[in-house]
Amino acid sequence: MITHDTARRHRPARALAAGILSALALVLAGGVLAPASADTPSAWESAPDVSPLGFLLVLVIFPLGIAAVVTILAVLPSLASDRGYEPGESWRGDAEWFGGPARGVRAADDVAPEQIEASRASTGGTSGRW
Amino acid sequence: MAGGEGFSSDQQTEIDRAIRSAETSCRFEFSVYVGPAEGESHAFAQRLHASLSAPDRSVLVVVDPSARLIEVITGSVVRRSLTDDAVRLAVAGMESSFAAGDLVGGIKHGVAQLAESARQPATLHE
Repeated sequence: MITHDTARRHRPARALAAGILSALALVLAGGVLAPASADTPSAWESAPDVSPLGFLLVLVIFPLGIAAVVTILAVLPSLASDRGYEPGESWRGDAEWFGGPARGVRAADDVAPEQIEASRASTGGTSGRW
Repeated sequence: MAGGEGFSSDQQTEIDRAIRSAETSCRFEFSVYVGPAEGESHAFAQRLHASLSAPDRSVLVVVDPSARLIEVITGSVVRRSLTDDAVRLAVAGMESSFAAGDLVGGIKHGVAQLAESARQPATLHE
């Protein structure tokens, strides 16, 4: 049983070695054979000359430019995002009234003093500081 | 740059949601004012409370982050189910959140706690 297991375990390694060997043989054979068929057929059009600048432009500057544009597009929203009030900083925003009258604090100016006096007697609540 | 000036829209949504869920749970109106209190803070809070559409059924929470003070005003009807002691407890919770710098969280939890205390127990008999 044990010998059978070890034999099975060795099999993939052997297959891998065989694969590498055959691949190497193919590459070597190609290397030997290639010079024989290296000439471009005379019927083909001659390749246009590429200047070093054109080479740089297509292979280096364009890819880098595209990468830069993508990076900026990805980073920009998080830079410009509205982080809102952050813990510990002083409050610099405008007053906000959630669930208040549509006119906001100005609505409080219209409240008659008697009305406030009357509500003062009946309302409850408390104050606190931190 | 809007960062650090007032609440972001996400924070506003969070507070709005907390207020809405408080209102649905206890059937009273909740209102939260965050900003500078003009003049004497308690009188200012009273004035804001009186300007609400249904003051008797409303709870107003005034938070002044620069003066570091909180005012809670409960209407005469709310007061029957939301005692001042319960309000004091909720305010104490808010104070500790605010002292830790958590303004939005303190408001959310404070409003939720006020609503929880204001919720009348279901009566099983009339």
